[in-house]
Amino acid sequence: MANQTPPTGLFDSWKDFIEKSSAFWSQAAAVPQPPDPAQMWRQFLGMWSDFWSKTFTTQTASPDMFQTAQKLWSEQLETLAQGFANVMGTDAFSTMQSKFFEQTLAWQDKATKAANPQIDMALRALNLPSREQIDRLFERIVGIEERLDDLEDNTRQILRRLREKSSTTASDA
Amino acid sequence: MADPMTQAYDMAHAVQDEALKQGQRWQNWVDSFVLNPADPPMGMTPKDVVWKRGKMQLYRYHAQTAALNPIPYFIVPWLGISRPYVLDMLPGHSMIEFLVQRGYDVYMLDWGVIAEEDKNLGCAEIVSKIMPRAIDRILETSNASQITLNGLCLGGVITASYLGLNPEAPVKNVVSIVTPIDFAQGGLFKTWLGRDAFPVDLMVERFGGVPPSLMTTGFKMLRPTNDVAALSGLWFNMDRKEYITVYKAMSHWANDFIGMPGRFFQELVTDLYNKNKLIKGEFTLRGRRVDLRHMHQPLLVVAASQDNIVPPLAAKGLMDAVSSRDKEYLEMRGGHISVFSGRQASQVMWPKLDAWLTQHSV
Repeated sequence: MANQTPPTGLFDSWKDFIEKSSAFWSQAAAVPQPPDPAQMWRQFLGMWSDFWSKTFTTQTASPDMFQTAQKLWSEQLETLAQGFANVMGTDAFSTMQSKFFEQTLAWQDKATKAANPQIDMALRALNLPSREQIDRLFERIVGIEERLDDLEDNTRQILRRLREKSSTTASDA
Repeated sequence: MADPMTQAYDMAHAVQDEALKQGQRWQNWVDSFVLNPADPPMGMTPKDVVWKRGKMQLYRYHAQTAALNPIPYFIVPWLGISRPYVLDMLPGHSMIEFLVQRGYDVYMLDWGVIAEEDKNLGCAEIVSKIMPRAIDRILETSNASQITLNGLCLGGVITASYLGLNPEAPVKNVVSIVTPIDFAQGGLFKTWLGRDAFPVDLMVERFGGVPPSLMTTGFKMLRPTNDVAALSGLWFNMDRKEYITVYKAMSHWANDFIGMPGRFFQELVTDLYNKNKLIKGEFTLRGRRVDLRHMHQPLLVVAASQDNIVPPLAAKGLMDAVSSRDKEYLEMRGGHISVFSGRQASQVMWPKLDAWLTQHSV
């Protein structure tokens, strides 16, 4: 049942789809400026619907149809992932991303600095610690734990030396 | 070409099979996501905490065999990003459980849930204070003189830096799994982070590190189709109960991002992704240069052929950087996580790791 070769037409359409999508994404990736998202999606969705309508109108049902559909879907996701990777791997995308981060962070910084005095005042009024105070407390606890570890290490070393010394004394005696 | 009658018969069978599968899928979906929506418990291999500092905990897993391998196996996972329980996912799907059942004395360092208060945690402190202390505790607890050190992903950067600074470290073997060493081959992350324009200092100043939300966005952007692919994989396999359990566990883990300490992130971006200092021998910690040539132990490097986080070439870089004479490079089919966690790993990577360790445990 499942061993029959599926109609070649289906694979031809699939091959056609893969070729078109690869060409589309490499074209998108080659554009020096970030591609217009609307244009990009219009093209991609057009290609997608074209592929499926062609598949359903020209193919006869096959016992392998369900498995083939599953395989096609996975292949298409892979193509799409590759396409995204090509676009996002460009310098244009990275520059755009870095600028976006920088602007967002700068804006957030200003907003936080403006809001912080009010938040601090509200927390003080409620007798609650601020984030900064909790961070400092955490650092102090870790510092104390580190000192305890140092003490433990020193104690161990002393005990080790004492044990060595007592065993040497015992063997000498 | 089969005759039309046979074709029609086969077709009817295929439709019937698919209809049955669909019925099973719906039944399993209702059972697993509506009636019993809870995720399966993870990280269940029995363990003790043998040392802790702040949020950090050093686990020792309970022995499950009569005889224990005399060389403790110490796993150092990545710092921040996500939790290491993916290494002990579910019974039968756990690398740690596998190693314990093979007689290894397994230890793992859990960094805890990294957040803003950990902003000052950096490579220098980890390598000079945390690593020696953890190894000391392991040697004492196991009454051993040497360990096998296994770095996973960025944990491998930590272990390589530790060994690069301590040629006399009590380490018998080194295992490096999907660890980026040659950051020039770092894939999309190299393109995004390894540039002067990336506002790393501003990000650390603002958040104290990389917050979980940003971490989620970054990793989802690496492969935006991953969630859809995982969901379609689930649907196609929904007729198998076991697949659903593993999917739920993996999906829980894959969305459970945590932050990364600011100082460590600054070092990662500025010194490693941007300037590729580790492999060039220019990476310094507290004034001391990390020299990977100090790594002389038998070495196993594992990379994943479809890894888009640490491409194989980035991991392979360690092979030429060390002075070990006994070294082996394994490039396996799979992605960054599937190479060491999951069904495929249980069939391919873990047995290979076991064979290599057995060979190097004498």
